Amino acid sequence: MSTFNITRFGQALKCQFIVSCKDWYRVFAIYIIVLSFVNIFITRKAAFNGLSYDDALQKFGEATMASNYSMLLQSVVVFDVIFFCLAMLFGACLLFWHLKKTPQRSAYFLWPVSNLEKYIVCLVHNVLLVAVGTILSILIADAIRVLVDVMDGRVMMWSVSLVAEIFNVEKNLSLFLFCLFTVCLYIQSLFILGGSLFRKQHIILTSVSVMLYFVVLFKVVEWVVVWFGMEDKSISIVNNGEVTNALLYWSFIIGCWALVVIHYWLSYKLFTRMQVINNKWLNV
Amino acid sequence: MRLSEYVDIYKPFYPKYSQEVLENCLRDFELTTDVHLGELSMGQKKKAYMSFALATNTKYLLMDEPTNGLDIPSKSQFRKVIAQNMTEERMVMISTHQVHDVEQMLDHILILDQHSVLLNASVQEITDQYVFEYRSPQEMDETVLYAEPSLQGNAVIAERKEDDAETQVNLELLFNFKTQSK
Repeated sequence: MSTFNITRFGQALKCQFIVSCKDWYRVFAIYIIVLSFVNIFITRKAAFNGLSYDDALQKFGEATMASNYSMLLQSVVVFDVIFFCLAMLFGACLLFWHLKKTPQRSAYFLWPVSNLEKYIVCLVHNVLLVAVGTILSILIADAIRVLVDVMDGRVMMWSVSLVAEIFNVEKNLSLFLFCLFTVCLYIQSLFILGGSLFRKQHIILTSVSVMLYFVVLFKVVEWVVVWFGMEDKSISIVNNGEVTNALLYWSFIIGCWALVVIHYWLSYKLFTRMQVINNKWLNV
Repeated sequence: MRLSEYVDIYKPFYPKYSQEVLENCLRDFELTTDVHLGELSMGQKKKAYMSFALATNTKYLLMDEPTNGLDIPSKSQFRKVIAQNMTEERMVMISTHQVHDVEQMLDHILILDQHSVLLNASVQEITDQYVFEYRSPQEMDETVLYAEPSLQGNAVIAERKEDDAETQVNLELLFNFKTQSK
């Protein structure tokens, strides 16, 4: 069997989606309910200088209220972004959630599709589909909130339109955002690796391991800083949207991307070694 | 999901898939492609999946406990369907604890116990070497290798002599013999 055949990969992707679509619909329906509830809760709990929305509208006028409401909606956007990040991490560590039981594993491994194709199919579902599904859930929840606001007689304002404002995209922050994206991708790759390594309790064990890893990493960095006597020196890579130390910046970016590739490769290797009958806690 | 939908999803992965074999097997199992898989009993589901597995026409077919959950008439149907769809190019490997259900259709036997292979021989080699029969206490002689009391007398495995007729393999007895004499 060839390692990668695009036609077979397409069929496998379609097949796995059809088989698991009910579970995905359920997950995204839960996301929409949670996000809608939180959106409505955040916009309803706020009191405007101790006044209800209607009283504040009469007192301050529509323009001031729109401005105040916009600030309130920024909290909604921050929550949505945090929710998106968590959804991506959970999606990553549940990469093989459909292989929990022995019959599921044996059926999956006997499926006449190459390991690489199966692995990419899992990635497409648990990374791309989760990203697209979560963004759609956020948009739908926002639409529901806007609908409730319109029915309530409030100003009609989409929180999604505030994303650019919050992240100051109009300023020249592309290098900072690229650095942030790289760090997020690096953390997500750690969760991919954890999801492949742990056979049971993926989310808990991966989260604890990643936390421990960062505690150890920061301790090592601290120790290195002390060892080289650099406690008093301030090292800045990015300051106010501009790269202050290009060598350090690009070394950091390239290092992170290299680690991301290694994590994905290790995760694939763990997948190819996964056994059907195994009572161990680790897939090694 | 309907069986027809299941088939449509999975058949592209099997280049030698045959719709005719599927329909024949389903007919023998008294099922149709319109059945809804979620509404079938465990045994019916098993029959539907077995029909599809046979229709894929793969060189090797692995079956794990295929007769579990099947009623008595279904076990006969299972044996008939397997026998009808066997070819020289194909190998069906059955792992089972329900040895009586499949013992008439085997041509090679592997007995595994505690991570070790206790027996790896063809049925012909086994029947050439041993006789499987019931004997009264008076008929027990030095050729008996293993015996178990039963309602029909002692079920025994004995060495086969030149003038002994070939007997049908009693898999349960053979398994007990091999596990106790290891």
